[in-house]
Order: sequence, then C-alpha cells, then structure tokens
Amino acid sequence: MRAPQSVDGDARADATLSVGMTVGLGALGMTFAAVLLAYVVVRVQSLSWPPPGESRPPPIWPWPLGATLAAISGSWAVESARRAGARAAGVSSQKVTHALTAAAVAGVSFIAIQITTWVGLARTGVRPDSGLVASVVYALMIFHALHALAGLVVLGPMLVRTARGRGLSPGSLTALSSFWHLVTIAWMMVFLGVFVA
Amino acid sequence: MTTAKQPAGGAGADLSAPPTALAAEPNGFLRRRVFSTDHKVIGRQFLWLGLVFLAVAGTLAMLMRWQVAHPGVPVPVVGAILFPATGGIVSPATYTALFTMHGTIMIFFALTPILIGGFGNFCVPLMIGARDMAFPSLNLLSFWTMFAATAVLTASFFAPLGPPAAGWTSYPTLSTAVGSPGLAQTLWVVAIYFNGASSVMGAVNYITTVIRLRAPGMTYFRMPLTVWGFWLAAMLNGLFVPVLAAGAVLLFFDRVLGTRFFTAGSTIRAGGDPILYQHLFWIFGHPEVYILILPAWGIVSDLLSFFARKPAYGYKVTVWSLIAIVILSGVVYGHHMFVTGMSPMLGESFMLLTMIISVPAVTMGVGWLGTLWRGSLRLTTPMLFSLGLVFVFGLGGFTGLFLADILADVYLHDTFFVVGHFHLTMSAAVLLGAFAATYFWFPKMFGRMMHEGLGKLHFALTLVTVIVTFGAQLLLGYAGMQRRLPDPSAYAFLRPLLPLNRLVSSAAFVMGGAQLLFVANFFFSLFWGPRAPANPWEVGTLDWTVPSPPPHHNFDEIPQVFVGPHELGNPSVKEKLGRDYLLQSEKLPA
Repeated sequence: MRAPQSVDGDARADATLSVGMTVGLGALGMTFAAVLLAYVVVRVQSLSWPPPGESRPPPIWPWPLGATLAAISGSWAVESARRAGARAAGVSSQKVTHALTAAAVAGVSFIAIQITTWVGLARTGVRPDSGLVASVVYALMIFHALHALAGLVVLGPMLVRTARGRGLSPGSLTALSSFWHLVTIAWMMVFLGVFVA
Repeated sequence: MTTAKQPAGGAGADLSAPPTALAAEPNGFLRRRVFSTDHKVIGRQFLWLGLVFLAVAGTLAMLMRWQVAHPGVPVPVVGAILFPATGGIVSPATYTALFTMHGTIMIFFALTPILIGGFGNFCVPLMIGARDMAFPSLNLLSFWTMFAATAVLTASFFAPLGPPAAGWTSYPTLSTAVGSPGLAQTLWVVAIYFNGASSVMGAVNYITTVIRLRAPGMTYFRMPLTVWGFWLAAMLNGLFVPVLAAGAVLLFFDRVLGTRFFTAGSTIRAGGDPILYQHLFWIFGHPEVYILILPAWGIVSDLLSFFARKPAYGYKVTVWSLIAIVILSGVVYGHHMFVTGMSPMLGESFMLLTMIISVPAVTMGVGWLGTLWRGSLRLTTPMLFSLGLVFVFGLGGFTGLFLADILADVYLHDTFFVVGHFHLTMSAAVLLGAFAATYFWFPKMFGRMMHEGLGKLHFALTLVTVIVTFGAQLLLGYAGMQRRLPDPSAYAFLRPLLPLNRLVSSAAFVMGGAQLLFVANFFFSLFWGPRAPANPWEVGTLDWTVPSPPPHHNFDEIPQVFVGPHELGNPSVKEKLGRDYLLQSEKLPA
C-alpha cells in the first residue's frame, strides 16, 4: 500500500532525493578523481609523454570529438527534460518525452562511438597491453563508458514511463540530469587530458 | 529508487503537516524476510551475514596461530580434511592465503556488515524517529550487493591455483597477474568492488536519512552519539571508499586487460607505479580504520552514559572531537607508507598530522572517563563490553603513537608490533563495540533478552585473551619478529620467541572458544530467552519508546523530541516521574 502523494509530499521526497543524489554524485566524483589522479601520476612520472618507445595512438580524432559532441548533446537534452519536467511538475509532458528520447539517442551514439574507437584502435594493433599510453586510453574510456551505460540504464525506464503518459517527478529528472552532467564533465576531462593534452 | 514518506525532520519541522498513510507490512515470506525493504529486516540480514563471516575469519586465524605456534605440525582434527595435500600441515603458500583471507573477511565482510550494515541499519531510523531509511529500495540493493560480494569472495577460495594470497592490502606487484596468477585474485578485486558499491549505497542512505528524516525537535545536538558515529562513518565511506574502488578497477584492468598502471617500467618498456596503488589504497585505508571504529565509539559513548546513569560528559565536545577525527583521518594516510621512500618533508607532515589526531581522540576518552566519574554504574554485559573497549582502544591507540613516529616506524614496520596495534584498535576494540551493541540491542531486534551470566563470562574470557593475544604480539614485534612468517623458528634470532608465540596462540584459541559462549547465548536467547519489555535498559532514546521488536512502521506517530539522549539522573525527573530517566519524546511535567 503506497501513501497517497500530496504535492507537498512530492516536494519533500524530491528534496530527499536531491540530498541523496548529491551524496552519490560526490562519491562518484571521488572515483573519477582517483582514476584521473592515477593517470596524472603515471604521466608525470614518465620520462616523456608518450614514454620512450611508445607513440601516441593513431589519429582517431574524429571519434573522440564525436563522442564529446554526443556527450554534450545528451547533457543538453536531459537538461531540457529537467526544465520541461519542472514546469509540468509530475504531469506527463511531450516535451519531456522528446527531450529524453534525444538524450537516449545521444547516449547510445556515445557508447557506439566508443566501441567503434576501441575496434579501430585494436585493428591498428593498439591494445590495452600495448603500452602505457594504450593502458590509459582504454582504461579511462572503458571506465567512463560503463558509467554512461549506467546513465542509459536509468534513463530507459524513465523514458518508457513518460512515453506511456505517466509523469515523472521533477526530483527524478533533476537526479538524472545531475548524473548525466557529471558523466559528461568526466568525459570532457578524459578527452582533454588524454586526447588533447 | 523510492523514498520514505515522512515529514522532513529536525528542529522546526512542520508538525501540522498531514499525516501520511502507514505502509502495510508486505505479505509473503520472500517480501518480508528475504527481499524486504524494511531497515530492521535488512539490519538483521547484515548482522547474520557478518556473524557468519566473523566465524569464518576467526577460524582462519586459529589455523594461522596453530602454524606459528607449532610450525610444521599437522593441524589437529581438521588438518587432514582441509589440507590433504600436505598431510594436514599449513604450508607457507596456505599460510599466506590464510592471512590474506582472514584480514579481508574480518575488515570488509565481518566487522563492516555487523556494525555499519547491521546496527547502522537497525538503529539509525529508530533513534532519529524515522519510519525507515530515506531510500528503502537502495538499502535492499545495498544488502544484496554485499551478498554478491561475499559470494564472489567465497568462490575465490575454490579457484584454480588456490585462494587469493596477496595480503588484505593486495599490493602490487604481489597482486598483479604475474605475482598472483589465476582467477582468485581477480575475484578478490571484484568482491572488493562490490563490497565498496554496497558501502557507498549505505552511505548515501545514512547521510540522507539523518539529514532529511529526523523527527521534529531532533536537532543535530540532540542526536544520540551512536547516530553521530554512524553518520560520520557514512561520510568517510562516501568519500574514501570510491578511491579504493578506483584502485580496484585499475588493478582489475591490469590483471584482465594487461594495462600497466601498477606494473613498474624498465629501461626497455615504460610502466606505471606499484606505489601508486599504495597511495590509492591508504587514502581509503586509513579512514577505513575510523569507518570501523566511529560507530563503536558512538555506541560506547551512549552506553557509558546509559549505564552510568548520568548524562554523557561533554556531549558537544565529544561530537566536535569525532568531527575533528573525521577531518584529520583524511590527511594522515602517509604514515602507512613511511618506508616507501617518500620525501622526508612529506613524511614529517604525515607524522605531525598523525600525532595531532590523538588530541581529539584523547579528548573523547576524557569525556568517557568524565561520564563514568561518580556515576551509578550498572555493570550489565553491554556496559562491561563498553568498558572493555575503552581500555583496549586506549592501549591500542597509545601504541599507535610509536608507529606515527618515522624513526620508530622504520624499525617496527612489518613487525608483529603493527599486527598487535591494529588488532587492538580496529579489530578487538571494534569487536568489543560490536558485542556491546549486540547485547544491548538484541532485545529490541529479536524481542528477547540475552543471558546476562553467560554474557559476563563471555566478556571476561574475551577481554583477558584479547589483551594477552594482542599485547604479546606487541612484544613479539618489539623483539623484531616480522609479520607474515609461516615459520618464525626458521630464523635463529626468533627461536627464543617460540614460547611467547605459543602463549599468543593459546590465548587466541581460548578467545576463539569463548565465542562459542556467545553463539550459544545468541541462539538460546533467540528461541528461549525471556520476552523483552519495550525498554529493558531504562534509557531515553527513541528506539526504546517502541515495542520490542518494533512494528513494521516503527512509530504509530512520528515522535516530537524535546530533550537530548542522555537525560539520566536528573533529581527533578526522579521526583516527578519516579524514575531516573526521561524519554527524548517526553516533556517533564511542570
């Protein structure tokens, strides 16, 4: 038996969700920070970068750039969903459905691009055990992609729910968008730190 | 993720808010007992899980102690069954696996589930006046993730090439695919990751529950110190377990994909840094000490007050001490790595910070003594275990000062002194706290009282053997005996220490045997113990204002809190109510 949910109760539940999400994102941020720190340490300790005897991965620029665009588009889409959801406040909204669909497309594209990148790298002989640079590229990309996948797993049921005409609470949309933004920020750091710097 | 429907808590919460309907207890065995979202059921599940693995880890310790005391002699009774290939003898490889799994299970799969998972889940909502955790479904997921972790770790016992054997810290290069080939170490990494995920889920719940679901009037400084302990431990869990998770992920990639984060390079091949793992591990590892001990400290701080029948001395000072310890615990990890060749300036900084952390710790200890001073002591079993913790932690904490000092640490590092120190602080003290909690909340959890006589005998035997076992280990380390030696008699200079080693082992065996008293008491009381009244200990916190065991929804009405948790020994209360305690939800009549 579920309690009848008043608007007041919704607001309280959303505030509680917001606190929980903040704590959860803090923990996730620590994980990304630690992984990136590990990259910084191995890079700083290396005599040069790429290390002697290794070369940068073959030019795969279009792919990480495409992944970056997909990540940013996804963030923009979930943010649109959040704003539309805040206006609709628990009522099913076409705008929310459209925005979440766009986010799902962006998310799937992001994962597809990452897989294409790994396949492309492997075909040119660059595998995770090929060297330190390859270690960093694969480890950071795979670790990040798993979190992007988690975002999609959370997004899926929400999209189905809103597509069936059932509303989403503003709190759940805020939680989704916060997670998505953090994963996007983490990708930007991976992109800038590994492929640009 | 569902959220519990309850008015937002804390001071100034709106009591006129419309009451929400109570969630009915689900029907069916699976929903009620196995996949329940009720924090009390989940707490009991964590407790059972932790106790089972406590027994496993304890048994592993007994096997280790047999080998050290009687090197090369087959283990009596079970040796031939467990180690048929060596005729019942614990081989060096087996010994390494034993201490690896003993440490791993004790820290991650026994003490953590018992205290944080078990008592944290059970007590926090009840003590702050909440109907459940903030995210009951996440709580359920947290338990089953922990269960999955235990399943994976158990599987590692039976992996080809034997169980994990890289130590509970699993330093590379021991834990790399070269140092530990085979599946076992990979399973260890996966188990630790799942365990961490479970802990973080718990942390999200505890932190949010305390912030959002406190009953009206339950200000932060009216919270029981038990809740403070769990809440602060949850913060450390949320911040630092992810760092261990990052280390575990990279180690997993190193082992499975062949990446090179923790593999040292050579002149012909670039590589990562094995010491990098140590940094990641200890950034988590030192706060982990406090993750384990903070709940025990909180519990004991409350219990000393309850059974001294007077308010906790310096309640606010104790809280601020706990907060200071939490903050400092994040910046002292380097003292675990003094011998890794770190910069002397960095080493001195870590040494200074480590010594500074003893200031709030001692302040808290003074608070405990102040609470006891001129108290009307009731020496119940939970009180005895609490007093035991105060003594044992004092002893262990004092020996920590030696290890905080770089010069002393260089000699003592990797000796049994370290083993004695951390067993006294984060093992024995935490275990004594866990026993205090079990004897104290057993009536509330299961609705029956435990046997006091058996409990006191359990306490006496445990305390004496803890002090002998781990105290003598300090002496062994001071005498120069290294850790992780399966046969100390292999070295001539350690042979004179054999009698002391046998004393340690004998005390450990008695300690292990004494735990059977606890097991007997636990199961006997579970079925045949006298029915527990709502408030058998006569204390004022909210958990004791509801029946034993509490109903599914905890409170028929969310209580209003008027006073702190330690309103004991107030003459006005005695005069007006005829008892020496005031419930937190009670107003003293004018």
